[in-house]
Amino acid sequence: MFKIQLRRYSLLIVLIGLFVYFSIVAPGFSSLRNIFAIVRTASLLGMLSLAYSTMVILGDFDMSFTANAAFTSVVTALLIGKAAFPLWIAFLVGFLSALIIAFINSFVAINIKMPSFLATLGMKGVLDGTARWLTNGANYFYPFWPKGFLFARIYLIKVIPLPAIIFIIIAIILGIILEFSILGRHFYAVGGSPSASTHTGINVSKNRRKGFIINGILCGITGIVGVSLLGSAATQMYDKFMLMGFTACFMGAIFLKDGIPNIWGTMVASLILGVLTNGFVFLGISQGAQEIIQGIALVGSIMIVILMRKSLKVLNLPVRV
Amino acid sequence: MFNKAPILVLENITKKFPGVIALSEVNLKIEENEVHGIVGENGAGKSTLCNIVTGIYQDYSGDIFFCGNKVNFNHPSEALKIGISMVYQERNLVPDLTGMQNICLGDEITNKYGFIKDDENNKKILKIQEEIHVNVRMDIPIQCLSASQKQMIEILRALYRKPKLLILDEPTASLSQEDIKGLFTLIKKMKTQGVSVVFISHKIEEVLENCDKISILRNGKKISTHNASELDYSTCVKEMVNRDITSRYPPVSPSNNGKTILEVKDFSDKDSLIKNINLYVNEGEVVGLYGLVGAGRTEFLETVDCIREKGSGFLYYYGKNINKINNTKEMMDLGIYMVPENRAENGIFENFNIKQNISIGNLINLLKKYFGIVDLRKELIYAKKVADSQELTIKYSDISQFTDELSGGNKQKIIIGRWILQENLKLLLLDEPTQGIDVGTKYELYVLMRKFVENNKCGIIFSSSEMPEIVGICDRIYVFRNRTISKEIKNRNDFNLDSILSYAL
Repeated sequence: MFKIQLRRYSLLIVLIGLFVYFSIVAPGFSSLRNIFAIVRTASLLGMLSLAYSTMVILGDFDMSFTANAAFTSVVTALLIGKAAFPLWIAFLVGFLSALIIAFINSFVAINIKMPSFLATLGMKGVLDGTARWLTNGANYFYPFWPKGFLFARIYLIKVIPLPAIIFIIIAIILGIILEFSILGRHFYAVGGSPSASTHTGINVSKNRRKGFIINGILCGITGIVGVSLLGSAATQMYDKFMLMGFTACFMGAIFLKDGIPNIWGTMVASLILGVLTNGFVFLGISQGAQEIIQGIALVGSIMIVILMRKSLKVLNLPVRV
Repeated sequence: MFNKAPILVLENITKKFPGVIALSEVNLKIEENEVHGIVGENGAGKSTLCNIVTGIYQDYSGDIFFCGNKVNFNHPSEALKIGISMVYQERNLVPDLTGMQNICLGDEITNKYGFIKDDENNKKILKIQEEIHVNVRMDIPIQCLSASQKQMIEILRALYRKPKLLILDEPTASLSQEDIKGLFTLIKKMKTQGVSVVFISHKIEEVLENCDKISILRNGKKISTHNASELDYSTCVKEMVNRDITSRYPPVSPSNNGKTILEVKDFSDKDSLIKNINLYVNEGEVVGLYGLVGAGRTEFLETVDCIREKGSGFLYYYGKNINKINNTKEMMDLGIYMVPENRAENGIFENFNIKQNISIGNLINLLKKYFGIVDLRKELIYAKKVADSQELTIKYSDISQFTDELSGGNKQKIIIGRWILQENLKLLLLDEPTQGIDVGTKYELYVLMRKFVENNKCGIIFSSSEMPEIVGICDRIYVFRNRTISKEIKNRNDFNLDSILSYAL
């Protein structure tokens, strides 16, 4: 019994262990300033991972979540910088663009019945290309952001970065909905077996669409917080977040639920990945080596899930298992 | 007469898994040219025994002798090589390959460069087909074939390797009546050609009729081996379950003019998979739908429950027209609930544990006061009430365990348990609920069904392709043939096995 409990909370232990390790071997790692940096990165990564995880729970596989957030950042930045939109309207339009993209994704996946993996992959191509075209391939930086644009750089109570608060609030709300509410239970049912859900009176299409919308909302928020935090529409950052988002979701499946993707696990795994990336920079590990380790982390997490559940069916991967 | 050595001898086979002894000191002899039936409840050890004989499990104690020689398989391919073949309960075919390709898979005749010689393979298969009079198309992808035809391909695949011993696991589960006859003719033919057959089935009558010897397993032990001619149904069942089942079916008290719950008039679905269905169900009745595979029973039930789109016709619930209802949730709000066939695909949630699998049907009543949060304590109480209820008695060690390790019978009970305590329950639609379930659990389900309709002013529509159980527990029977109803049999006195069958063919 204790062994099972230990296994369920192992990710937390890993998180604490990694933090302690890096604190010891990398001077300056546990400085307040660095912890802020970790938390800021982990917040953006975390919100995107939550967006992705929500859809995985429903059995859909989203390849466009980072592109969606990046696009929101670009749209918001350009509306202010090039089109002189008022601040809050630019934010609103940016956020709405994420929602519209989510709706389009849901239409193609649910109404046209294309596998969500392919539908969102196509969308990612469109978004990446459009963003590149609009910014001429560079990070769009505007030197005269209006007052209030950089709101994401605020510290509440002088110590806590605003993005972290946004992330934690969103994660708690999403966690309560998906893990404790009847809607969340329906989400898990749809992901577990769409056929059994239909026979139990659960509307599969409606629930999947809700998942797409939640995904869109989270991507929109991340895009706005991201452009505000960085002061520019940094699309490369979002690219890196994609593989890390996958990893956070599947690594998170180890936490608490014996291999089933869940919100709390994704939270903890995002923090772990945030600590890891930051720690690697401190240790001077090259970009290439970082990517190798991240790849190993992804595959390793999935292997652990196989050991836990003896099959991959619960991960809802878009492959025949 | 010189007595040849038995084809297969198992001596003191014992197989342990963590926490459970699957087989304990099993001794078995299969003679040459013998059809040997093996029966036993779910969990008795039949599959484990087969897995050992075919080389899937290598870790066991005891000895296996094949044709007089001691054998020890390190890999299933070794068992295949010396002549042990098996056809499993679930299909193991590659959907996109043709029948011929599936049959030869792994053993294709090739030229010296490794290219497959299609002509030679074809010839070899045609020869087998001729010998055993099986007619199935082998040139189209098998996903285009029916369930029976796929089964035929699997059997051909096993015979392609010229086995000396052929093991068939529940071979008649998805076969039509005609094909079942064909299968047994085939088995008789194989006997004359020197192949011994081991026949595993839950359908005891089939085993009694078609086997030479029958071995009964219970709880990992072999209880006895009988000559089929000396064994009767009740002794067989008694030894399987170790309880005296004096009758196979609970007594049926005919209903006393209960109100009509559901009435169906000239009913068809949108894709014309069913046509002009007319039937009704009264309170207190179990109404049986009998028919062959493909006759339209499942399509009918799914259309009634709004899983398929309705076409023309009328649907009445206690006299009220409910044609407009087009989703399953609203049918549930009326009190109509369905237990679909194929529980693995359509019934069980693999990512939910037992408790959640039961509660998913009733979450709306298990919430806390605000915000739609599931009350975990209420959920646990409810799930335990269902699982431990006298009617269901689901066997589990921990209600928070996942369902993978449960037997088919327990899984079916969970799905039925989803609905059994619904307060507004009036009509249950059961589609092949007893498929792949052992005798003991089946009896429990029959008792549950009769008790349910007789005590609760409710009705059941019970679809099955097993005639004995339809005749055993139904008040009335509708026979489905060719996507419509060919006959309604209103009276239990008129239940005649042969005539019912004739209406179905």
